[in-house]
Amino acid sequence: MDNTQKDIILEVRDLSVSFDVYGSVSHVLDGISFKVKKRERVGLVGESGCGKTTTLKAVLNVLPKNAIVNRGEVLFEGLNVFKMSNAKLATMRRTGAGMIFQDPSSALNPVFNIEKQFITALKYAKPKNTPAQELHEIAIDALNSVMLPDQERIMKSFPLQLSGGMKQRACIAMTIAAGRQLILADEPGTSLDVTIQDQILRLINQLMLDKQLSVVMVSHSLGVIRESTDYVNIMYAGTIVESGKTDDVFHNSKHPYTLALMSCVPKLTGKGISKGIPGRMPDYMIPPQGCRFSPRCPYAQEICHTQKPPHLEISPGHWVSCYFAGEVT
Amino acid sequence: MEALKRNWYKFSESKISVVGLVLAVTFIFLAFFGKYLVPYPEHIGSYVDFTKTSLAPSSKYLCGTDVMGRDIFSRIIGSFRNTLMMGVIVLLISAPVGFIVGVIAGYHKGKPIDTILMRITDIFLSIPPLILALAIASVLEPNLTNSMLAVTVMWWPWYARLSYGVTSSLRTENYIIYAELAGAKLPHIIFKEILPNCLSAILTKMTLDMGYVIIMGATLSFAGMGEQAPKPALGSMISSGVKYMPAQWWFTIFPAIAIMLIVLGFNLLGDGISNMLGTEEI
Amino acid sequence: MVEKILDIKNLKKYFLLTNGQLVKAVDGVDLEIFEGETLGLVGESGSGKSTIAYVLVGMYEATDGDIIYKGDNIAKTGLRRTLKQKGEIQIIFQDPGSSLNSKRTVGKSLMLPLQIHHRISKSDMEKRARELLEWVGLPAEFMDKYPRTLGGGERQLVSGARALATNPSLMILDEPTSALDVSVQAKVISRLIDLQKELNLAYLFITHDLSLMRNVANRVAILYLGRLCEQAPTAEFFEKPLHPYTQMLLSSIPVATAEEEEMKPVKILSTGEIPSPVNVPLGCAFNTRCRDKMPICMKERPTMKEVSPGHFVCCHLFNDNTYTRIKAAAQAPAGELQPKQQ
Repeated sequence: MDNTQKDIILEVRDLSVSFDVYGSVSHVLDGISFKVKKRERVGLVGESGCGKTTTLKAVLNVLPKNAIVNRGEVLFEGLNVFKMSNAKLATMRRTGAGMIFQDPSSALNPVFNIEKQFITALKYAKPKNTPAQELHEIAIDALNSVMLPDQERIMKSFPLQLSGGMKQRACIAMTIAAGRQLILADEPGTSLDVTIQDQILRLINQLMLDKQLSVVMVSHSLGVIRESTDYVNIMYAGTIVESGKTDDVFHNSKHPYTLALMSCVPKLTGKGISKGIPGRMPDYMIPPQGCRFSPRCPYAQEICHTQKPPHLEISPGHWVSCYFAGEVT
Repeated sequence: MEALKRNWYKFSESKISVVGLVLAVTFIFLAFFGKYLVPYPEHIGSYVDFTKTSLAPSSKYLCGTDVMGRDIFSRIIGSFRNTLMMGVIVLLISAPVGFIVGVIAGYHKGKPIDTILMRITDIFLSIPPLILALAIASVLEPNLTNSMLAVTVMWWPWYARLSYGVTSSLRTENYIIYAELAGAKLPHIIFKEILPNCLSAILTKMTLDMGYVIIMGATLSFAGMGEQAPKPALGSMISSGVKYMPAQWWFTIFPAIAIMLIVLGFNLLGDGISNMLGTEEI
Repeated sequence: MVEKILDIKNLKKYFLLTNGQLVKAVDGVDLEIFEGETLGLVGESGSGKSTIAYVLVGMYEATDGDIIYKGDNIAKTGLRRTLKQKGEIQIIFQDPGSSLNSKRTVGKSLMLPLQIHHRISKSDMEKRARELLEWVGLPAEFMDKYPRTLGGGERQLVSGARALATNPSLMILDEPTSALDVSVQAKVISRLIDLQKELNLAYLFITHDLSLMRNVANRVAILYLGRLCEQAPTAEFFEKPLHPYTQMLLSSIPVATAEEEEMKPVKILSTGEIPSPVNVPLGCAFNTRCRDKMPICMKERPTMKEVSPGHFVCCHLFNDNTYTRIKAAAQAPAGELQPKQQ
């Protein structure tokens, strides 16, 4: 037990988060649980509004003011982020876990050049009296590892002067240079062109292997997840409906939502796309009592509407949150 | 109804905005019904009673009496009507005029008409407001109507600027482009597509401006340009009372406090409204 | 015999920036669209695909070239084209957030084109608007709703209904579902396809999502920096991509199943950045990133050649004398094409 515990860098246990919206309560996350082992790439897939970004924010404990953590824990290297002292929290954010944002343009401050932002970020991550020269070298080294040529010029450039792909690489460099072990990637290539996105994703994969990092990759694109993760959690309306090895979940989907989602993705083979999933995402102010997917599920029975489904392990490592897992095809 | 509830919630989050609302509503109420509620309605206007001249504030005369023996409190409340009218009429004229100028310039951004209209606007904006108002008011006969005219002339450019800004940013929105592509004519685009999106900014500004227009009006009447005696006006009450300072301090202090409370009320109200409308979901 | 409704010949659109630079957004494009078909236009940023859409719909005037729509040349008409022409060519924009005026109800937005194009009574307009909503599969209650209460997919469907109000023959769909979730996209796309069959509409479908294109278009054309690289019937485009850029793009797309993975051309690892349209490379625009670059590519711009019926490529590899050699290589199984070292 102790060995496997040491191996887990992040564990989210039964996380439930709500928001206070002008007096009413929006129950977004309802019992999210997943683990990330060291050197593992875990995916969080879901459509907009399912709570993926909220989950990432919870991991770093940067939820907005009106967020209420009803229950659950987020354990980073064994310690609960909601109970950490401010000092420990700061250390975790500087050298433990870092986030790569979807839009690199808004992740970088437009009025400072790369050098200023990079050195500032490193200053807090490295021991107090590290000389500026050493910080500079660490930055150059990091820029090199993300395949940016002409590093000195990049350091002196302002974000405006760099292309989308270069900015994203610079952000990745800043995040890993501090020595962080866990990277949270929030739709890292979505705002970029496809050929550039491909380069960025390959880069992240390569860095992960070279530096032995763990990655939590959030995306709404099933293709991206399939190519960049070992383990995946499918999210719907604040709940995890299916999780397991990426291969298993994608080729052996068991949850009705996963199946519906897979059928909606246009295939390169030209076999057409389905007509979509009837209905809409539930209103978080009055979420369904039972399974949150039940209003739209073609297989839903009485029990699905009234009681939350159990989390069943239908094959080793493959978990589904459904009463009828294994019966649907 | 749902929207109203939500908006009230946002507005009332700031307690001080509610204070502003109360002050502003009280002022408006008194402007309409004040003359039926004051202790000495006949003192508003020409009335003389030298036996009661220059009395200090007491329970009988809340703000004291002036040189003519008139109750200052009643006169202050009595002046509200014209004060409010000045504010309302000036804004009701300058806002639409400014809007039209700004929206046409903003819609045709980059073209000659934009440059012409906005440079005219700039010219008006660059003249110190008080000087412009005084210049106009002094040329014309000094009365309420003309001072309203003077203030209107220098007020519309601000609304032109505001509308210009909003229109320029909306210019590239897809629904505006669609309207053009479908063949909609300019009046439709201005009034049905752009105006609804400008309304919240314009209304907020109008509320905040109310206070400033009132001060401008008071300044004009202080300088002798506005409402003439014996009708009461806050500014002229202050100017005629200045030479009696500090002995008969109540001649000037109470009208000044009245102006302050009115302007404060509209400012706080305007702040609250901009919070409420500003965070409205798109 | 299917009628050709749109014929674009040598279309050019250049923009002059305030600092004097010339942006060659569209630089000599030839396209044809036939009645009832979907022509797909693929490209990344700077490819000029949206510019083509805006010229077609009248927002810009072409710098040069001809656009023959049902016999009339509308290349330089811009917004001065006839009302009828405005009604016949309609567009659905990418961003559901700004396609509808958030301060007007769905009903009002739908009735706008009706007001402009048809002189009918108010009650008839309302009836027609409800009919349009029904056509796109939305409930009639949406008439009184404001866009902010609608989801992204629903807003796009409303945009679609609005575009249909004038009975167009050609609909330009500029990335209509790029901002939508996959399940919502499926709903919108399937509705658009149904409508196309019911109303015999022609679509110009613009997207960067090749997997989507595969299932929607009859023919596909791919653009790079304002120039056409390749054009072919859909199946052939995906099974036998000839242009190096097409191959690079196809090998970059993330796919969700192993079956599709096998379809992709062997990893042409994409390299380099897309140059800015202000600085289009001399010769072939793709020469900065092409693994098959030859000396001629740096000097001369290639011309479009038809290498098999309906399949056009614009690349020096396919000039007549080198064609047979390359053709043999292109027809070999995918595994044999190895990426060259840069």
